[in-house]
Amino acid sequence: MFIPKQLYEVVLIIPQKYTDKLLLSLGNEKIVQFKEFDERFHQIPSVDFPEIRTNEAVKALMKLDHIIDKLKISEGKPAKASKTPINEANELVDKIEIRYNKIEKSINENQSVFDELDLSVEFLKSIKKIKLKEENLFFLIETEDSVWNDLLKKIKKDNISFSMLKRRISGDKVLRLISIKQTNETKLSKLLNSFKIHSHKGTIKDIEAQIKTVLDSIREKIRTSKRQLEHLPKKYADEIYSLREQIQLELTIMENKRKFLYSEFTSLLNLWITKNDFKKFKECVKKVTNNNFVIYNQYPKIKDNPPTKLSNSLIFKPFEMLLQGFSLPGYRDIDPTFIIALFFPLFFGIMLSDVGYGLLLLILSLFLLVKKKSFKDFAQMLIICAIATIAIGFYFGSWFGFTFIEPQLNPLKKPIELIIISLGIGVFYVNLSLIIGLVQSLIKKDWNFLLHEILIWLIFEFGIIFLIYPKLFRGYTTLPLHIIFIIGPIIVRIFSKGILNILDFSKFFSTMISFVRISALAMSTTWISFAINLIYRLVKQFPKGIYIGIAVLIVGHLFNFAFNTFGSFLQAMRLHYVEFLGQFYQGKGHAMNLFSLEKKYTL
Amino acid sequence: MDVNIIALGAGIAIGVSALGSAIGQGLAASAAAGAVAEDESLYVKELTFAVLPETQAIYGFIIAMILIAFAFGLITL
Repeated sequence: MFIPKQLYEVVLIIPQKYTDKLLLSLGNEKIVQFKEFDERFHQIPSVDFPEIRTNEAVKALMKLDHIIDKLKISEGKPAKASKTPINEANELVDKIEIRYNKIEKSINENQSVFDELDLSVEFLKSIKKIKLKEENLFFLIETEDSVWNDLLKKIKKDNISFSMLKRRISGDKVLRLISIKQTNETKLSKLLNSFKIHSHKGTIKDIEAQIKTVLDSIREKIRTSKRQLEHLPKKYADEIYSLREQIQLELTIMENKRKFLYSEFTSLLNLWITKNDFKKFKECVKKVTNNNFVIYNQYPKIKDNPPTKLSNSLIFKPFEMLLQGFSLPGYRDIDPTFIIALFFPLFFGIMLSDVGYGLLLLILSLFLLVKKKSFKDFAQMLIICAIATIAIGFYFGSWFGFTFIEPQLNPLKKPIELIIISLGIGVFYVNLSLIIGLVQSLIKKDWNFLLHEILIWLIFEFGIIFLIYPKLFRGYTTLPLHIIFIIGPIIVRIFSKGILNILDFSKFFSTMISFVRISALAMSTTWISFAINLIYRLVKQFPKGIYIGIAVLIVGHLFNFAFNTFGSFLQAMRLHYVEFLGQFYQGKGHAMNLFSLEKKYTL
Repeated sequence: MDVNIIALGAGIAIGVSALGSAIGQGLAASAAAGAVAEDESLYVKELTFAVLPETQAIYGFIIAMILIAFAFGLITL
């Protein structure tokens, strides 16, 4: 609980034929982290691992990611595993691309025809105001200028008299409405056919109706294609996510296999494992290799830079995420999670300090715990904070700003007491952090850190105490201890860090004073609640004011709850990151990256 | 001492400190947003940096509270 889990460095030799089987077994157990071989093993002659298909796997993975991104495919259900996931992934992506492009092309083509016809309808509408001879026959055509010039020569040659209205739609494409006598219909139709020009003919109304029918049919075609496009991601989601997962796992295996050393018949593995899991690991190896293995284990050495695996009981575990958000402790450092788990809810509770808000937070965090599995740790942390808020809310006697029971400490009436309590917490907590730093430095034999970052502050503090209460040592010594204890650390600081770092001594006190924010937040929660309730009392005196008053209560308290919950969480976090961890925490650890072949999308 | 003067002092204490804090917080938060856009894993650390300048407003609030407590006779010199 107070330190990260103890690890073993393990060297394992197994027959090469069992390597894959062992990896699969260890991948399911999730208990080891493979490590690269260091210089100790460089003199061992080894052969390269023969089967490395990383490039193909990465390419297939990129293709899958591209298609997921392009089609916006959301996660699917678990699908059956494939024997050749890389090949299947390539084939599937190609198949989907072809299908997608075909549908997209059809949509684009139909859309462009639709747009052109739409312009024709608009053109016909715009000429409605013009008086046209209704006994005439109309042809609506779309031609380019060059084609029209050739056609015009032929029309003149055949003596077809006509009148024409036109509108340019794009570039040299022009819509033309040609009006001719009924008798010339055959001649013009023949000419248009010879030029392969598509036309709509009849009265204006006929042409309009013809175009609208075509438009409806194209609209339906576009709709069908879009439906097919929408269906495409759902159709292939399960298969794509399963193949992606299988390739990722294959890559994980390949990457880890690269870390091993190989002789002609054996594999040499180097790994980290927690002391608790070692027995389980040995059983696993024994089972896979039929007892054909050589194993050697030892505690890590300082230069090995072992990974960190935190070890906290269930109640403290959710608070590990706060520490991980900052940085992990080194393997040999003290894990302060248990202290954060005790004090974070306390600070948060004092800052929110209202039974009603605590209950609201409890309901919300229980809802989060049930509905969102991925927020489990965060929800559990909020539950503990909510319970602390309820307990402290009882002490402060605040129920959404109303007081039903005589409070032990009313922040409205006794603000100074609250400020003093906060300062007291600050002095205690900063000293606690120094003591933890002291113990950690002694364990690690880090004398430099002990003297320059811990002892000078403790000695300086004693100096200040002696200065304020000189009677404490009167009769024991005649030495001016308070001066020695104050001047000594200052001299050490100047010589070790430079003259400018003399400012650190004021920073040391400001660190303690910083804890008054606990009382400030508590007072602001109480004052805002009080103000909301005051507005309610004023408003309800007006006719039908009770309704507005209730609205003020609901909106006001929800705002105060949201605003101060967020504020309290941030300030409690800041007190830990800056004021507490800032005194002793080095946070140079790196997380233990357990080898896992956990499947989510594959059966 | 005149209660009005004390109340004015309390107002100035919280007002000026909150103004300074708001300017600082604006600068820190905009820089933090840029850093988080580059690397999402910095979110928690940057959030902490963004709230650091709030300290001045809190000190101003505490001073205002002490002044008000003094004005209403909750503490005496």
